[in-house]
Amino acid sequence: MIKLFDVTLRDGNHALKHGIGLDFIEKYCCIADKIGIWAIEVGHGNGLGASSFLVGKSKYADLEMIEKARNNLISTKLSVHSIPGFSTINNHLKPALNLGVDVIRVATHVTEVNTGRKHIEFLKTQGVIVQGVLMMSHMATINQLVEQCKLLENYGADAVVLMDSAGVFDAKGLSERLRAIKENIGLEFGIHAHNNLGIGVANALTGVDLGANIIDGATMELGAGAGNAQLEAIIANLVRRNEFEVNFNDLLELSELVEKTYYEFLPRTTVDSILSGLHGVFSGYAPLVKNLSIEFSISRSKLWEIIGEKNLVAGQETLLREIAQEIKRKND
Amino acid sequence: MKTKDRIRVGVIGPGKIGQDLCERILSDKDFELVSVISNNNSSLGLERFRTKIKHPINNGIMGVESKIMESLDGFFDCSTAEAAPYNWDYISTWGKWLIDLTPSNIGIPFIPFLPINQSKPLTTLGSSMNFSMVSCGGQSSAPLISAICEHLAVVEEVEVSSSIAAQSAGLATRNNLDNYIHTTENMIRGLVNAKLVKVILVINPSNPPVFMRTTITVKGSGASEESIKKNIASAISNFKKYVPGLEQIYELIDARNKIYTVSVSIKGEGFYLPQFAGNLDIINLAALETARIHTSHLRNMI
Repeated sequence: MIKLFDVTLRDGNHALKHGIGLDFIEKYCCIADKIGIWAIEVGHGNGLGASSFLVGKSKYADLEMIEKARNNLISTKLSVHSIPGFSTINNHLKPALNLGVDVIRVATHVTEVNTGRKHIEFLKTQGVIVQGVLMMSHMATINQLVEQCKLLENYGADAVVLMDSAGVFDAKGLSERLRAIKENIGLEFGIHAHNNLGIGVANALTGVDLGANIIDGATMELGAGAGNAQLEAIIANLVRRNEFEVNFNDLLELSELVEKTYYEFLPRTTVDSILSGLHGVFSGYAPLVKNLSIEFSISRSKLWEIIGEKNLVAGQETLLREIAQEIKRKND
Repeated sequence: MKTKDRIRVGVIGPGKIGQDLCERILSDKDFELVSVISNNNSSLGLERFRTKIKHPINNGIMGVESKIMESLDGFFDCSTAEAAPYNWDYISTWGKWLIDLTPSNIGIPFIPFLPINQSKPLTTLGSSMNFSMVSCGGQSSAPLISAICEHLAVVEEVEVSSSIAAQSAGLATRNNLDNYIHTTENMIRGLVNAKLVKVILVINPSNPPVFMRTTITVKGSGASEESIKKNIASAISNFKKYVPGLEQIYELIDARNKIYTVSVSIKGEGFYLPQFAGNLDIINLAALETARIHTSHLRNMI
């Protein structure tokens, strides 16, 4: 069974500068609950406890957003994203569990899975579904990837989700990785595709073809950088393949809600996003890269290139500024 | 310092941090490394110092003979959070001080030159004290938090985000990210009266490895930009006296928006640990400075 995983209310918060509205969460959940989506993820773009000067302040507290979603979901599960280092068990996971979250995604950089061990092991004692999320998964070799997935399996995670955070993969690269996971790992697995190079939906469907059953998408692509694989298009393709059934009027209602509420925030594949995809850089950096290139009057494509060379990971906003300063200094 | 006045110490746990600390002590005229204590007969760390010290111990803290215990000023504990309470139980019965580099959290959080527990001035503390070195993020941020907040009438928020090289984050660190965050947040709460305190740690797998970076952001009001800038400059210059690899890399002082941000990088000295391990360096440097400060108080009291 395909489990559609809707990240609009979490990844979409990147596009909304973490300012998603509580009314919107309520309306969205009411409609989405009718569609047959397996889970909806809600919160700050970087998950629990991430509201900060470093990656951006949330307009509403984590718990306000979770509670609003909880009150409006019946058949669809409620999920939250959590990155160890931002969140802790006591400060964030326990309060979220108290509000009745069904799924928790413990997300780490693809090569640093062991930073999530304590959180995964704790959550497994709490009766929730725990998915291990590998961010920036293009930055690991296939062997590393399998090794890290094995750790997730040992810690007791229920599933592994490959995040193509920078929208780097094409069908070939993605297939190699998913095949390796399928052959070596006994967990169900999923794919979280981004649109940096314009092939998010295609990648999501490649995932389905290779046995991935957790498929992430966002309505109207609302998500970080160039946006996520579009949920409506994924659904339509699955319907055409007889792998999903939907009432298209509900889907229309959901899509229009997003379009009308946040029209000016809807992401698209721009040359910035293409450059971030080509250089394998976290798409969430796009607004900062644009601002820094203007502030220091430096070439934006050069900035993307250097960031890619330095293998930056999410949460290194201050380093971006240093890189921009360095390029400026060399130019002068 | 004259040989007879040197601070006579033992180092427990000659792992990575412990070995770096031992090397520093051996080359520092203020200290005499009397004993290295392992609970492992085949410890490579202990082997390395066996010929350089008087009393190598391979059966744990209880293996230190009475007359050696009596002759020592204090200990550095570089073992583990689990072992630290046992070590302290024994050492405290001898009235010695201990500087705890593990995240056991049993000692008072201590940052050199900063008054964290103002209710208990350091000069009134007795010889048998347990000082917790908090965390690398705590050591790298506290002097700057204090500098920014000193003249602020209201401190709304303090945020400290650090990134360290993945290659310098051992399993203990990775298993204890929560502990790191809570310990550092508690230290900050003891240092300033802020409504909101937030600590973030990012483990960065970049290759080549990056130097440790810490960014401190304070939201508050009631002080002039000039006074804050002056305080930061003086804090950085004092800081560099015991952490030479520290550099200020960014500063944004914006009183109109009530936001004050400063970033520093810590390049390790490359003593025993590699240069990218500034996070480990700063803990050892703080530990040595703490020992100097405490010993000088104790000796002045006599």
